[in-house]
Amino acid sequence: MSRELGLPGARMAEPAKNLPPERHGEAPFLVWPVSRREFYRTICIAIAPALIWGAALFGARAMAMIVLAIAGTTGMHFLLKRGLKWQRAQCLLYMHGLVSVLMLVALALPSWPIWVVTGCALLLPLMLVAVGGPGRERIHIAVAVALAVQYVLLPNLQAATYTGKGDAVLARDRLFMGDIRDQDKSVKAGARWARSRELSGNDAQVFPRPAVMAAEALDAISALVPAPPAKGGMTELSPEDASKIRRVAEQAISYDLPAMDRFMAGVAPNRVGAASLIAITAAGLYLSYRYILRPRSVLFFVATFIVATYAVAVTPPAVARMGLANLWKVFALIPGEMMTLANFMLLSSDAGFAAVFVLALPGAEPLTARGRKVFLVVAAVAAAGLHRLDPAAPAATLMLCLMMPLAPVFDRLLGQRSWLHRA
Amino acid sequence: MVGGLVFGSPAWMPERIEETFEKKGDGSETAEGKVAEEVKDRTGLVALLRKVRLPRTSQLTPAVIDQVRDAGEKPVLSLVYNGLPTQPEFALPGALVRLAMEEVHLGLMTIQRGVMARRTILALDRHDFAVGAYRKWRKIFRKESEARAGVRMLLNRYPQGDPTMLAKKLFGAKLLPGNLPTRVGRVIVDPVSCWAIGRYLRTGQVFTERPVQVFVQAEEHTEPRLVMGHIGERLTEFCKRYKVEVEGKQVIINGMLAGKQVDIEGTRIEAATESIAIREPAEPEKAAACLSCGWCVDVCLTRLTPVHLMQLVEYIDADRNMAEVPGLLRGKAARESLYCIGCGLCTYVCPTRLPLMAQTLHLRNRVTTALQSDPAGEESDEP
Repeated sequence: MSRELGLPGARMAEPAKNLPPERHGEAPFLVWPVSRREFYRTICIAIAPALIWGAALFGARAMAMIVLAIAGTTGMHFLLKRGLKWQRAQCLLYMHGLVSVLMLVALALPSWPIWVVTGCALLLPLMLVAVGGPGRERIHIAVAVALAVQYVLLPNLQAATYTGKGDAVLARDRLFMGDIRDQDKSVKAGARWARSRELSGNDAQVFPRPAVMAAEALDAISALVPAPPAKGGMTELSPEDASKIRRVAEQAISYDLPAMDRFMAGVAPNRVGAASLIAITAAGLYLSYRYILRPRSVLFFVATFIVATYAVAVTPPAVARMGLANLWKVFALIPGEMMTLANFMLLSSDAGFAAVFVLALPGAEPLTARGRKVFLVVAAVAAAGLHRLDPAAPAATLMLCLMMPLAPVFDRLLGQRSWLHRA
Repeated sequence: MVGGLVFGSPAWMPERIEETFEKKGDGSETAEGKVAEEVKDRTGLVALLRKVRLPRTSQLTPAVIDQVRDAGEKPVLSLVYNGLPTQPEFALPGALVRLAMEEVHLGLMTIQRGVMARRTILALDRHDFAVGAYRKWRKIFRKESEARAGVRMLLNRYPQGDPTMLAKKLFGAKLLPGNLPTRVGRVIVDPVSCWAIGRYLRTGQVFTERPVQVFVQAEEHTEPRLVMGHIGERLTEFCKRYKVEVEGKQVIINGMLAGKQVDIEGTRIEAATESIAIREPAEPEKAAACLSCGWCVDVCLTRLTPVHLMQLVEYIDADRNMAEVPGLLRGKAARESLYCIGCGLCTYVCPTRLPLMAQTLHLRNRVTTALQSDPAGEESDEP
C-alpha cells in the first residue's frame, strides 16, 4: 500500500532525553501520521461492529454493560488526569483506556451482573496507572480482568449475586430490547430462531453453547469406542457400535445444535463481542488493512488451532484404545457428522476473536518472525487442548494472555540475525 | 508491512532545470559529445573523472572514482545504473532522464567502456513518472551495438535505492552498509555522475554545479523545483538567488527520512547535495514508552530489531552499567547495529515516536569505536 509523502511539514520526532543536544534535529524529519492515539482508535473502530451485534443479540443488558462501562472508564480517566491532575495519571491515554474497556466488555458474558462489569471499568484506569500506562503492561489488563471475573470473582460471588441463568439468545423480535435473563426453556436450541410469542412471552431462548454440545457429542462418541480385548491388541468397531455412534452424532446435529447458517450469521450464545464471526472477520480485514494486525499471524494461529482441534476431537484415551489407524474408521463411518461436530467446536471457540482482537493488541506476540511463529504454534495447540477439555472457557484468549509475558523470551531465544551477518 | 514501505511516485516532475547563470566551457578538446577516445580502460576512466573533478554525487551511492580505484584489475561482474530515487520524495533520477537523457546516456556509456563490466544493468523505478524512461533507454540501446545492457524495473519499496538493498535485490549479494560495491564485484553509479560526465563530454564543462531539488513549505501551495546549484556556494546565496525565504526556517538537506538538519549560515552546496527542504520548525512530539507493536521490525529491510538495539544502547549509556560495557559492545546483539543502513523507516513508522534510528546509529558508532580501539580483542558471541 503506498503512502503519499507529500511536502515536508509533518510532525518531528523528539529524541530521547539522554541523547546529547547535538543529536536533536536528526532524521527522519517526518513521521507517519499514526500515533498511539490513532493506533488504539483503529482497534476501537474494529471492535465496534462486534459489540453492536452483541448488543443486538443479547439485548438491553449487553447494551447497558457497554454504555456504563465506557462511561465509567471515561469518567475515571478524566477525573484522574484532568480533575485531580494526578501526576502518575498523566501517562494515561484515553484511547488505550477505551480499547481496554471495550475488550473487557467484549469478553464479558451477557449474564454477568452489570455492576461487576461497571465496577471493573471504573477500576481499569487505576490499574493502568499502576502499571505505568500504554506500553508498560506485561499482560493485557483488560483481558486479565475479564478472566479474573470469570474464574475468581463470580464463582465466589455466586451466593451473593444473580449469576444462575444459562446461555441464551434473544427472540428474533426482541433484538436490542429484550432481557437475556427472561428465558424460556421449552424451545430446543436446534429448532428455528423463535419469536417471543413462541417462548410464552419470554424474551430469550435458552441455548446451550454449541461448543459444549459438540464436545458432549464427541465425548459420547469417544466413550462408545469399545475397550481393547483382555488379551491386548487393537479393537474393531462392531455394527452395533457403529449404529450407536451414528445415532449420537445425528441426535446432536439434528436436535441439539443450531442450524449452521444461523450459527454462522451469529445467532448463538457467546461472549458479548464474540458472537458474530462476520463482524470479527470484517474487523480482522480492517485491522490488517491498517497494519495493526499481521495477516500471517492470524492465519498461522487459526490454522494451527484448526489442525489441533481436529486432532483432539476424539479424546486421547479413545485414540489410545482404538489406535491411530483405526481412528480413521470412526471418521470414515460418519465423516460428515464428525466434520460438522468438529466445525462447531471450532467456530464456537474464541479462536477467531483472540486471533483478531487479542493479537491486534500491541505486545501480544513476539516481535521477530521466527519467535512469533513458534509462539503462535504453542499458544494455538495449548488453546485447542484447553478448549477440548473445557469448551465453555475462552481458551485461545486465556492462552494468549498467559503467554504474553513470555513473548520477549521467544524473541531472545529465537530472534534471527540480520541477513547481512557473515557478509 | 513486509520490509520497507512503498510510497508511490513522487507527486511532482519538473519541466526544466532552473539556472540563473550561464554555462561555462573550459574549451576542452574532448567536447565532441561522444565517449572520449582515451577511456579504453579503468586508468583512462580515472583520468577522465579527475578532469571532470567528479567526487561523490549521491548521499548513498559511493563516488565512481573510488569504486573504480578499488576495483583495480579485478573483474567487475556488473555495472549498475541506479535510477531509483534515494528518498521517497525525490524526482531527480526521473527528471534527469526526461530532461538530459543524452548526457546521462553518454556518461553511462563512458563508464561502461572504462569499467569493462561483463554486463550493465539499468535499475529503474517501476512507478516512476519517467517509466517512459524504459522506452527511452531501449530506443537508445538498440542503436548502440556495444551496449550490453539489461533493464530491471523494480518496485521502489523504499529504501530500494540504497546500494545494500540494490545489491541484494539484483544479485543476492551481501553488501555491508558503507562498503564499496566493488567488494561484491559490482560498480553502482548514480544518474548525476553519469550526467556530469556526459555534460563534460558534450560541453567541456567540469563538475562545478549540479541539479538540486528544492522543497519549500509555504502558506500557499509551492511546487518543488529542480534548480542548478553551484558547488561550494553558500546556502544563503543559493536561497537568495532562487528567491527562497529561509529566515527562521528549518533547513534539511538530502531528504526527510535520511537527511540532516543544517545551519543555513555555515552550510554550502556540496557535490552530494541532492535536495534542500525548507519548512517551519516542526513541533516535536514527545517520545513515549514502546508499545511492542513490532512495526519497526516489520519495516526494517536488514531484519534488525531496532527497539532492542535502542534499549541496548540506553542500557550501555546508563552510568550504572560501566563494567559490562566493553563486553556488551563486542557482543552479538550490539554488532547487529553495524548492519543498519540508516533509512529512517523504523523511526518514521513508530507510533510512540521513539528515536530508533538515531540510537541505532549511536550504538553503531560506539561499537565501531570499540572494535577499532581494540582490534586484537575477540568478538563475543554473548548477547
